[in-house]
Amino acid sequence: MKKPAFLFNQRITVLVAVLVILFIIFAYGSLIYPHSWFQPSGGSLEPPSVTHVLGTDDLGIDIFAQLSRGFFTSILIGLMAAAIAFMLGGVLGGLAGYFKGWVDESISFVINLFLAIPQLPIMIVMGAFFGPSIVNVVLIVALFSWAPIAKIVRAKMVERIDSNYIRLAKSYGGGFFYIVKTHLLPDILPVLSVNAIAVIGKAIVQEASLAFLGLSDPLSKSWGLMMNKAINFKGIYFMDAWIWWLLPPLFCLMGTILCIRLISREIENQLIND
Amino acid sequence: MKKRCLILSLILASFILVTGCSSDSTDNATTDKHVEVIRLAGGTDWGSPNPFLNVGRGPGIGKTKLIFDSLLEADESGIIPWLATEWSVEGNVFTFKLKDGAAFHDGTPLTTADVAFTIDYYKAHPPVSNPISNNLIQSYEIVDPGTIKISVEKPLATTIAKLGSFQILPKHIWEKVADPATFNSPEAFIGSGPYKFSSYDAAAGSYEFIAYEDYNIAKPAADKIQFVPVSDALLAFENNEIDICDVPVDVLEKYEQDDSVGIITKDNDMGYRILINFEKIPAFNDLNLRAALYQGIDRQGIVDKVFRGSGAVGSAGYVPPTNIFFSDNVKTYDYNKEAALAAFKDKNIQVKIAVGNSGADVKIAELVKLNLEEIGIGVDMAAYDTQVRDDKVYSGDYEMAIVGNGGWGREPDYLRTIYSANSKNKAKSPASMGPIGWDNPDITQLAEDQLKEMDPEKRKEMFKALQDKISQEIPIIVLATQTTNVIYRPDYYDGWTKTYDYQQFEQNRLSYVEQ
Amino acid sequence: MLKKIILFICTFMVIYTFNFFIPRLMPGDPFSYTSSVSGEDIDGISEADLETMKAYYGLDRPIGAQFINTISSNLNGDFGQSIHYKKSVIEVIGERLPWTLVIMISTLVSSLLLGVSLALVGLRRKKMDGLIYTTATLLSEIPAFLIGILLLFLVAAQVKFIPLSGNVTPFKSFASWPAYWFDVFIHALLPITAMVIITTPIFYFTARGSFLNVLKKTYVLNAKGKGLSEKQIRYKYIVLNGIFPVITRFFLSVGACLGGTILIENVFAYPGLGKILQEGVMYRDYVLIQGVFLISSLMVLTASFIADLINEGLKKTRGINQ
Repeated sequence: MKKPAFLFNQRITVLVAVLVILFIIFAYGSLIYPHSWFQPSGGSLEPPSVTHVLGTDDLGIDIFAQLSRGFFTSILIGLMAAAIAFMLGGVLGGLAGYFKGWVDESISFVINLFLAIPQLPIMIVMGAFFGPSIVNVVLIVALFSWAPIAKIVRAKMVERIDSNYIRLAKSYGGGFFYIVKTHLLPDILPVLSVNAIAVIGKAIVQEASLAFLGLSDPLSKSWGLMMNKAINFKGIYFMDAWIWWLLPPLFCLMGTILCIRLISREIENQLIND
Repeated sequence: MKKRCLILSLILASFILVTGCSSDSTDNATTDKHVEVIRLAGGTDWGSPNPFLNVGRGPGIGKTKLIFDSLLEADESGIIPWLATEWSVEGNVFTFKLKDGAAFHDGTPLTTADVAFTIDYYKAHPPVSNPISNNLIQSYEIVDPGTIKISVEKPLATTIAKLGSFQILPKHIWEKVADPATFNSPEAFIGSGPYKFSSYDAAAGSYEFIAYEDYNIAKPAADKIQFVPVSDALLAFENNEIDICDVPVDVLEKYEQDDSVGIITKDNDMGYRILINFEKIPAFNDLNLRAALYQGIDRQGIVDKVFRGSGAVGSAGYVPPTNIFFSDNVKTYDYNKEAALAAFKDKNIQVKIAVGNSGADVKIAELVKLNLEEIGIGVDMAAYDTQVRDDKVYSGDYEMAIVGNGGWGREPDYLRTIYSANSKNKAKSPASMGPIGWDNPDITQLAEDQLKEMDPEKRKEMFKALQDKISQEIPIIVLATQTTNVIYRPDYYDGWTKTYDYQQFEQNRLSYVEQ
Repeated sequence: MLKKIILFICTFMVIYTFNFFIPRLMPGDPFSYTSSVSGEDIDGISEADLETMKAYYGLDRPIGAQFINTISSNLNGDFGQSIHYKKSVIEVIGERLPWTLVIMISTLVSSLLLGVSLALVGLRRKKMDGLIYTTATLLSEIPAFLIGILLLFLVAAQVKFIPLSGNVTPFKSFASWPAYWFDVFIHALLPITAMVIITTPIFYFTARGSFLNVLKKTYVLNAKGKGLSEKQIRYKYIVLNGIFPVITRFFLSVGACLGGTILIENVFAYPGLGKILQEGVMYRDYVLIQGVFLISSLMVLTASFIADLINEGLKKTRGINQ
């Protein structure tokens, strides 16, 4: 087996490095930085200073501490949603591709159904229905992310299953798990992983969107929520506070999403080139 | 600390008096001032302005009241004649005499037949906001086109206000209407109020009303009233696109220096409280623990941080200090973390608190959670969509709940629907969310009795006694009340009027007529 | 083809059913909008009035009966009365939908034109192509509402003649239609810009891929052999033969564009479907939520159905050619 070439891709190295730096900065903000992310530690809307690197919000809570907390909330939501979408997409797509017939028909139907549904309106209704909590947001985001993965996995499966060596393995009496494990998984896994990484980015965006619409857990700290609070603060247009209250979560969100999506894109390109 | 609160409320009260007086005097000076147009911030769709189609909140009802008149009005001191120039009570019969020459916008005279028709029509088709619901009116008798006698089962202190405030429909139009919810032809907006309906754009949230030139109860103060959709109300005020707007506290200072800008406060009309479900946490049946709750929450901190200093620490008697029915003798509870900590020591209390997910609710919840944890109470704060939170409160499915609502500046009959065992939790309304599993016969008695007291002065005393009692028993933790500030240009238009129990003067008909 | 139609109908039915039951199963009911904020205080609705109201909207009946009733009245073209806005759902949507369409259509059309042009520019100049490709890659990953917020604070709050929100200057009587349209344009400018920024890359990628594909094909070589000028080849053959995937993409993008528009409308307080959907959910206005869903899913499903038709047609003609 040859080494995965994408690890040596320069761009990926840079992107991963950026993520690592963000991680270190925010780990510092969560662990060492003296101010709490939930407890007021200063006056209301203090501008950035030596004590409060990015100032404080209306309740006097340190922005940088909140930002750091928000990073881990976002990443956690992204990872969890991606994990669920990875499992669902992988298993369902795999089953559809392997068994064909009515299994394929029905799973494909569900996949297409989910691909066709306009997502955001449904997410808004579901967000309100299930109540605002991180777990629900994860589930909702995962529910709308597995279908594209399943579709790709299924296609890959169908392509491979017809190849001669699988037929050979089947004719020798190779069982389902054996064939999947030795012959299919090595092919499917990279595709699956790339898409799962992409889902992390997508999940972060969708959580931010729901939070921005006021449909995420308002008591947690996430970037979308910080923006929602800042933009709804009365008189924000007339104050300078938006510079340290609104812009940091906005740029952090943009940066993180970009890194993750670009990493998944680069790996995908590498896979295609190989 | 106790003193500070008192002083603070005194200052607040005197401030209100001063602003109240000053607006009074300017009113007199500018009685003849008539303006071309009064422009207010619009932008929200409050429904079509008629009794059946408005969306049933203050701004929707307020717009409807410009077009549809009612029998009586209210000013700063109390109820005043309006469409009915005279009224009297005899036993359970109220007699109203209508003003001569009153007519609807289409020229048809308004008679007692229209009043009678409206009473019947509202029974069959309840309007969005229905002061005469629950079969308040038993029967009526049209004495002549200008006189009507209305009988109720039992006259209560609030009856006259209710009878005086339902909006009168023109019989000749509505007698043909079978389904008022779908009736929206131009005729649906013909009333007898000071302004006529001109235009309404739902998507943009813009409204326009024009003066009813033949109005004979008072002179409309403007040719036109416009609700202008604005991107940012304050920007629009600065650009002179609107004449009045709410101002956030953080930018208020700038306008305090500006002589051309007047400031009116809506005093402590919005308030937040913690409801306790005693069935779920019986520990709070202990009065000392309830007092310790009060001591353990930094309520001034809530006023300072969440309301940005504009408001007051909640009165333990519920009624806010700026309300004219406020009692000075209510017991106060100062922030005393140590005392609270000592009270809750070893009690090992865990509470689950339900809170709404909108702006201030969440911020208050965050602060309360921190405070309670500091005094040794384990807190599991859960934020819900407001509808879900309300549902939980109505069904008693909560341990503690933080709820906020408007209307604290009103006549405190709400004490009855919140604290009386006979009246609380009866209607799905914020003013009837009371403590579950708690009951005090004295309070119930007093709260019910005030409603039967027809002498306003005696009733006021009863309200005060009731507050004092409540402040001793404290079944509800009153957190804080918020004051909002409104700026306007007195040189241009200065007719803004609050009523004795209603702070939202933009919704008040009197604000738009010359007095 | 039959399969596609069945899928179309089934998807629609699933959304329809889902969208009928989920709001009704939510806690809260449309008549108890209670925790009023200041200035919105209401007298509680009495029990008797509540019953009358529920009966009027048919909410007093068992949910199964409500469902059947809803289907039959929808089939008759009756989409009910909005409980919150107190008018027919068709009217409410009729007031808002055009504004959402203004944003969506302008976004899709300008993104398509821009994307295709950029792809053509890239074909001619390799260096430019690299730059455009990188920029497009970056922009395509950022959600539109973030760009919207940035524009709101960096542009609208600073530049006087660009409004912060809304769709048209109220009560202004416009001298002429162009003046009116300019006003609409200036209000929609920022929302559309935010949307275009993230939608253009999608068309750019599709067009670029498709054009490169066409370039490889032999008939372009043949055309070259016939002595046509470079320019003619580029515009006639490449665009004509490479445009279909772009058009398919156009229809497939309707769904994503709708989602983006809903968020953008909330950033700029633009009075479209997004705002009433949010309000409908907030006030538990079942009938209105249903209506908004119906119209938005119909839009998205029909668009992807058209995309499928085009694809299908393309496959057939190609099959004949070969």
